[in-house]
Amino acid sequence: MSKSVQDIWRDITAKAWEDADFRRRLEEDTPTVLEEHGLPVHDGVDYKVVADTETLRHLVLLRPAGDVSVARLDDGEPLTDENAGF
Amino acid sequence: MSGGGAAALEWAAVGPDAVIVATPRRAWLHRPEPWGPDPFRAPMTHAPGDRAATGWLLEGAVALGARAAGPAPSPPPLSRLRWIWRLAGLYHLTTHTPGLLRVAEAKFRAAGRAALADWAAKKAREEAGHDRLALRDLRALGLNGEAVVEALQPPVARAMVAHFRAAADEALPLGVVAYAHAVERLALRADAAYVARVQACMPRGVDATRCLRVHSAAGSDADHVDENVALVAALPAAERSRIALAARDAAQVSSTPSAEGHVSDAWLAGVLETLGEVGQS
Repeated sequence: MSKSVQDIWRDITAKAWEDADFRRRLEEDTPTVLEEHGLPVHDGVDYKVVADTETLRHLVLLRPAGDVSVARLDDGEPLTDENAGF
Repeated sequence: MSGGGAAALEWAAVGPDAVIVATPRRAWLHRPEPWGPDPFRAPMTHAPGDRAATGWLLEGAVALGARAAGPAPSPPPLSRLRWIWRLAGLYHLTTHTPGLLRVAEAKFRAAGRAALADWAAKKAREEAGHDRLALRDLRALGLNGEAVVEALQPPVARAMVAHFRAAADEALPLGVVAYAHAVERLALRADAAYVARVQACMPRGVDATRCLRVHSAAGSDADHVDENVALVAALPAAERSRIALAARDAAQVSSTPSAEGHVSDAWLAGVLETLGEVGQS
């Protein structure tokens, strides 16, 4: 069974803990290392590795992909006589 | 709710890489990153849900479903002929509604879910007779309503009824709640201006918008949407999530145009002529 993304990221984390050269390459050329391990890397997206320490914790503020509402379906689109598809 | 002033949140996965996250003020489509901590990857577990946030959770689900259906081909202009076709669709949708709601009521009652059963019973009463409104509208246009709805069976209406029936067949038919909410929320897109546009296509003095008015922002569907939200907000988290997903699916079915495309005015006129009706547009 193939490893999940979480499994692979866990392996990368442990490897970076014990291998300083790997950690440096992970921090300096993140997309390449991710790809080498089979992780998805998207064009136009920057990837940045940050390391927690004894006195620093990083909290990731997730990106919102977009707001959704039925009202927005009508943006610029007048209701048609076929609005329910029939 | 925990933490002073913490936001009331609702969230539900609606696909392998999509989570609707709702606050009491709006809904977001969140794409969880495949790695790293993501607080929305785990299902919500709190109950009851915040009522306003639950409303936005369902709002987002219905909107996503409608979006997933993709753009519909441009419809032919609104006309008397097109309205006859639409009325036939409304008839087929509404004629099955009370019966399927009563099926759901019985299952909810048997499962000891009184609030859900009471909701289904009330809605079955409220929706009863709406098919006759469509028939009256057709008669107002000088048509034999029963013959017209026998001959005209819009594919999307058939697909929606099949979806509704499948939801009612579930052991605990929460999909019925989702279907009702999706259809009633989408119906609110028909506002007074739209009703006036339809009416403007009718012969002078003819009222053929009774069924539309009931299922529009001018009717009682706004109250129904609020009642649906209150019902869902009181349910356990797993059931709220399940209803959100089912509402997305119902909205998609409702918004997906027929694979055959729009029927032509010539075809519609031909059917009406076969029935002995005047197929003028």
